[in-house]
Amino acid sequence: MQRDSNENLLRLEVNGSIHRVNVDPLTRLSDVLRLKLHMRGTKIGCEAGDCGACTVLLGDRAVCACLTPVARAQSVPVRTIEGLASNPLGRQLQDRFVALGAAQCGICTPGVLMAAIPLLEAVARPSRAQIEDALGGVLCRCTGYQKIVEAIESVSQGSEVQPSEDGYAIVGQRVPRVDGLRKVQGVELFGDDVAPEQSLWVKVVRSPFAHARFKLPDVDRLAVELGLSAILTAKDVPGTNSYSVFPDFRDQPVFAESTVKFRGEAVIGLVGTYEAISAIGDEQVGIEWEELPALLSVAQALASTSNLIHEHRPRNVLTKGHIRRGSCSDVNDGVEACIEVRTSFVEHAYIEPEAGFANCEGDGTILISGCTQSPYMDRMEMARILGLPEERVRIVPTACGGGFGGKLDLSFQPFAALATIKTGHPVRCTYSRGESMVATPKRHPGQMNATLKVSNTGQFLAYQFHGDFDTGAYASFGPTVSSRVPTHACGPYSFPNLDIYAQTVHTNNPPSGAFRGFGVPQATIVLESLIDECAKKLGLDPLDIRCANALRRGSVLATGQRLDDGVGIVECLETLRPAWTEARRRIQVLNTRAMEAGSPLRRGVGLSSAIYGTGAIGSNPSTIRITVSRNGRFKLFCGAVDMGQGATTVILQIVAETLGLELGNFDLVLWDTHLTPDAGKSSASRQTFISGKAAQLAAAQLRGNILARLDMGPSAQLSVRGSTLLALDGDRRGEINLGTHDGEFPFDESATFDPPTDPLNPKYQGNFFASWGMGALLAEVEIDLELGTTKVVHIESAFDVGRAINPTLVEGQIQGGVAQGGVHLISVSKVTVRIASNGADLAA
Amino acid sequence: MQPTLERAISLEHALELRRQGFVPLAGATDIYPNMLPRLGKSPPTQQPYVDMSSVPGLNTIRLTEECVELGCMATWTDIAKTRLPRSCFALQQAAIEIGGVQIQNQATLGGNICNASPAADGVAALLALDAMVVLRSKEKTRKLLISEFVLGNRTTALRSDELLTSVEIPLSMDRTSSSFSKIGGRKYLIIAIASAAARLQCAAGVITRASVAVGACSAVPSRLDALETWLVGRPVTPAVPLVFDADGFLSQLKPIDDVRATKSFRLDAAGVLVRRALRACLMDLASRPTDRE
Repeated sequence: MQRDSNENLLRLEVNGSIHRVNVDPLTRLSDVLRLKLHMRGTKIGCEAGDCGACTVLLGDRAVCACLTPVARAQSVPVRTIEGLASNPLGRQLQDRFVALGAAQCGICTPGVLMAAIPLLEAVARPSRAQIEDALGGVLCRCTGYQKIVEAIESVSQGSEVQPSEDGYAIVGQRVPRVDGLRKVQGVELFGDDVAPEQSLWVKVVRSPFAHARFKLPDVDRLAVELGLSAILTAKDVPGTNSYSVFPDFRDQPVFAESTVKFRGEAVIGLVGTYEAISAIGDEQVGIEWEELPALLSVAQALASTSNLIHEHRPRNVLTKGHIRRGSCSDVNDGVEACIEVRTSFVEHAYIEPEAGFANCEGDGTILISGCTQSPYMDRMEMARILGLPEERVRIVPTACGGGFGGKLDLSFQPFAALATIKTGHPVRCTYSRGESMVATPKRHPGQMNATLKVSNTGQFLAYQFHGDFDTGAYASFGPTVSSRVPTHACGPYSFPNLDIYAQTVHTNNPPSGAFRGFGVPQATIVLESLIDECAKKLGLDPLDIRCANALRRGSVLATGQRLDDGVGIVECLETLRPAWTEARRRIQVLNTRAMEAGSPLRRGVGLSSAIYGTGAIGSNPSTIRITVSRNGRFKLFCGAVDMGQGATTVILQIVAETLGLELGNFDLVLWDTHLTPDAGKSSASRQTFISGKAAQLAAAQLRGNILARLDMGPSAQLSVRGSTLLALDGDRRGEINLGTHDGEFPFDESATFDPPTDPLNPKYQGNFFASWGMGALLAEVEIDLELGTTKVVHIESAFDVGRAINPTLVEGQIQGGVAQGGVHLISVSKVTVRIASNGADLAA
Repeated sequence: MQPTLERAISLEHALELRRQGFVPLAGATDIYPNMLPRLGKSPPTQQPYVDMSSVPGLNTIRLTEECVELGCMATWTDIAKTRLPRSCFALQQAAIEIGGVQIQNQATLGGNICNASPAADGVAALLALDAMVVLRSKEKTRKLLISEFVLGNRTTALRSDELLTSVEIPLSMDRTSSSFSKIGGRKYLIIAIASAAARLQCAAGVITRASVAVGACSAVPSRLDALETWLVGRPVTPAVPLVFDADGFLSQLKPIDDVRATKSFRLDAAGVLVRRALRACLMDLASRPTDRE
């Protein structure tokens, strides 16, 4: 059947405008919107209808644009996020999302909003259940949905924004996030939204085997045959073909050279047009594979003497950490409980797969722009890979559509950069969901066993812990797990006797890396379960036994660090007491009633504490720069990547508060290694504490300089009128006419903060973290005794966050973290408990 | 370039394209995921599709004297939102358990059946409702029971020149109730680990006819014939729990171990779901004093 091109022109009505596109009628509507109509507000998360990020309206029905043949959009109007603001209900919904903090990273936000609109159009006052049903097809990994549901409810019910909480003008206020409007309008630019239109694409061909040798075909000839611009191999790496997140552990090649160590490892890169790379399947590339025996479990890996995944790492052990205090074996009083826990791999499943582009700038600098949590680390590793000095590599992070630790490692960056060097074109790279799943690091599966000994009066006497963590084929953040686990395994409790050992073990599984907590959540499950077992044995209240053993001012941690302030765990636990007492009473009534009615549903309530050292062990400084321009504008140069947690807003609040100015006085210069000073990586809850402190120092310095210039006292009020800087101190008044100054910035201040900590040492003794976050949670869970299914009914949490710079953002972090952690907990694959009293087994 | 999707303008047009080898495209919710790249594999060869969504009238749902007739392109939202007799309740319950709203708005009854997944929620429900499928070719029309149509994992009796155009759910003069439930890893967007559908008819306080189907526990959702026979003649009294040997009645199921669940969990869950579906039917029947639907 022959057709001329006119017949292939499809007519679409999108947000009231008519478009004509020449595409195959089976093309996904999502691809047409993004690639042909350049409407990039509709996001792509999975291309399989599983995430709902691409939700658009066909007529009045929400559909996944990724599952919609464009031909079907001819007969019915399409509505996308870009048109939402023209609808009054849409505007109202966007406003509520910003005000109530319902958008965090923002990648799911267009899909959430488009899914909510048909409900609000059909039902004036939807119930919570109706809202949940409407949103059930959209995945959000950041928020835990709570603020999303509240924002949708508030559209129909009207709600008040909470007033200020204390004497500060800006700090402590529920300031709407500065990037909130962009996120709800769908104009925020993420990794897949920034490549120049004429970019080529690179697609990585990956190993289908966990361990194999391979031979490549003649790639130059193959490139011609397949209609590609180039094929990249390890030979195209001009610098060093190995990288990691720690300089001492560089072991992962950009492209494998002759063997692959995990299923999903990069082998070659296909560079060409989107149509060309999309049409090529792995089989057509003709790589010759020879599959080799693979080590797929920690037990196999530890037992293997001949098969070493990295020759210089005996027994396949990457790193280990060991802390001892006193003697656990000499404790023979009271009761003891033993436990064995196995946890599984966990995928971050941020809704934005890794994406970005690279281009060669005029002076030979390689520009890499895309999603990342760690621009400065990326720059260091990319400079080594490309064989360039660091100043020739420029990392410009886009908005990051969820990270949770998974975007700390390099992903698309080397492929896009090598392709741009080889072809001279800008080249973009977007991981598919499947690729993101197989190729990027996961949470470490833990195989842990532990013994807790408690005196008859409920005093913790000794804790022994052994954990083997599957770190997969390459180092990634494995070393952090083997230092975080021993330093955190004791939770926020005091122990006179300790023996804590953790090791990371290589296997031919995917690399395990950073994921919220670096092994600490896995270890927490172990200790908290043991505490409950001992409390049960001793007939003690689980809350009382936790309070009795919790850290207090002056307590000494396993690492020998003495905590003299910032120890809020007892207060956190006590905050939960009313809810705990009430929940215990309530579930008893409910369970009795259920039993009488023959219902299989039972409720239970449990407690857990948490502790977490902020930032990295050892030096991890941040630098923040603030300038004042001749036109009176203040500029905040902030390199702290905001992946939804709200770093930009929080740091701006700190700066404005310290200077005594309004948020509107500032312009932001964000995240560009050529423009912003190094603020480290966005991980381990460090940006508010470390970059926030640097920002406070810079702002205080700047204020001091301004006031000194005017000879004003420290309590003077600053303000800006046009290009004039005004200061008022009682009845004294001073002003600086900035416009008459020489140079771009009449004032220019930077400050660096590096928390006072000790570097790691072989005995694991020292002050490794300057600040420890603590908290406690209560979970009420319903269990279906017949099906074995569980439902978390309610979670109550109490965290010692210090001063909440922005309560809305803090709540968002807690709600999202709780939702993610809850899922991790119910995915624990195996728990075996043994209880003993004075050494004798009581129950198996 | 040969377009890969041809929009049919009438059923005759669709049947002609089908005869030429075009594959019918219904909700399209499964074909796109199947096109995604897989490690070490080439993508499936692109087949030409005939778009069924452009054929007028195929999403109609009609009530006749003898049956409920559902067009093959009726989406799960269409099915959930249409007022149907109580006997079709199981299908409507299945409709709101499929995917999320977006999938329910796109995915169709016909696609769910022809896709022939062992976990197809719609097929389990239709099996319990004794549904017939209407198959059309240019030359003739034939009807098959759903159990005669879905033959195996991804295998049906659809001939290369045929289209499944509608589904008929027979109505009975007796009081009827039906129920569906499924279990998955979370509340939304789940593929069933196990599902169960039941339909009970009664007269004079006694079960006159029973059908029970279990999904995701065999290559094709299957009916539990022995349990059905056992149920007939029993009184409609939800207060008295149904005591039966689930293991015995479920022995014909052949569940597999996979990433979603183990074989033994599936069997246990299926037993529980069957009991719950039956109890829901009994409670519904007992709560409605008259014999009229």
